[in-house]
Amino acid sequence: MKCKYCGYNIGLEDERCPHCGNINDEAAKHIADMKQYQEDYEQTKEAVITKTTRFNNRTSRAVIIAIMAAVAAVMLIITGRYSDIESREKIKKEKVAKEVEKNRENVTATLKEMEEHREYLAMSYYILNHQLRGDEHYSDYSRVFTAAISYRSIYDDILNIVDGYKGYEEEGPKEWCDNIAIYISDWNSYVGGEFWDDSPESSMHAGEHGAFLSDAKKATQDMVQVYFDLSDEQAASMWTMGRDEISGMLYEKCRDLYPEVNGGEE
Amino acid sequence: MKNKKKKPDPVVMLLDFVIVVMIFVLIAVGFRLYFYVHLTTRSMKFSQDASRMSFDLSRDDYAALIEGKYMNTFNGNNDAKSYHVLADYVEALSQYKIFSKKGYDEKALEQKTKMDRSRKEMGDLSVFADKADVMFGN
Repeated sequence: MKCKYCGYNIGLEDERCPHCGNINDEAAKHIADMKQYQEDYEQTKEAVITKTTRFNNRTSRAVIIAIMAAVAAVMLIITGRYSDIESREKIKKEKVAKEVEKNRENVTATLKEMEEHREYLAMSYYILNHQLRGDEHYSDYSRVFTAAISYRSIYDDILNIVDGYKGYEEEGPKEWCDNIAIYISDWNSYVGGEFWDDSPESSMHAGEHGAFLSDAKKATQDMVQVYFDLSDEQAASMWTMGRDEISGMLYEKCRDLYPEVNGGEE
Repeated sequence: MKNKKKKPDPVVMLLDFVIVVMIFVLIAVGFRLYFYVHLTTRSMKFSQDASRMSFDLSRDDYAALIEGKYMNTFNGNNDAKSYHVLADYVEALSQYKIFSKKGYDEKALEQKTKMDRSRKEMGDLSVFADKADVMFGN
């Protein structure tokens, strides 16, 4: 622009003309405008920064909270699944079933070997560990499994009498004898298959299974006979006796045979 | 440069408070989850450690000792080896009594061999084998 007094070229921001020294009216307005613009710019910048920062702060926190809430929700769902005893049992059974399925050949071979070697105790724990009782692949083993479990239950009760173990409910020889009597009196029904109306030709009683069942019964009879000092006749007849009768006979013997264990009991 | 003290955003303060609360919630839920998962994993294995077997023994629960041995064996847990050997001994002893009394000499001898072998391997736990001998009248 030019000075209106001398025509000299001056800048818009020059307050006075550098040539004639007169005041440049345009400059004052320009400077005031620039100041205003600068202030407006600063205010806008400040507002943008403030709003952006606030937005970022809020958003980042909200995202963190959302993630934490999602993680907590997932954990609570899993906890709910695991804390419920039925669910836990289900998970356990599913896991064991998967393992058994994966190792089906080995499991079957082991069972067969245990059956052939008449390993009643080992088999009963193997069944428990691999949850084989409800496994449809081993439905032929149904009575064999019951025999092994019955043998082990009677064995455990005898051990409890011999070693004087009191159990968690302060059981004594009377209760252990009652338990043994239950398994003996139920043997023909549940192991023999009378309760299930088993046909003697059924695959559950055929071949090695049949031989195992017969031997398991004899082994159980021998075990009860020896540990309760029964005569051959008493031992053989216990399978046809009633539950109370068996229990009474065993307890009577037990009191004489294991007096230390029965100390204080009437 | 302006040094204006900014007013704290109440929403951000509230969110910070929620985050702190959520940290405690996560810790609590995490512990709960760990507890149940640990419980489930343990119960899946059926196996017992040496301290559990020692506890069974202290209660004269030889049946539990034998159960522990089998479950540990099936689950590949060999940590309580000496207790397994003692369980082998008690099992063989209990069977030996049956076979010898019934006159099944061959089977009795087989169990006796197992007992002798276990005796050699059980170390300090042989005191419990002696106790078992008395209990079973061996």
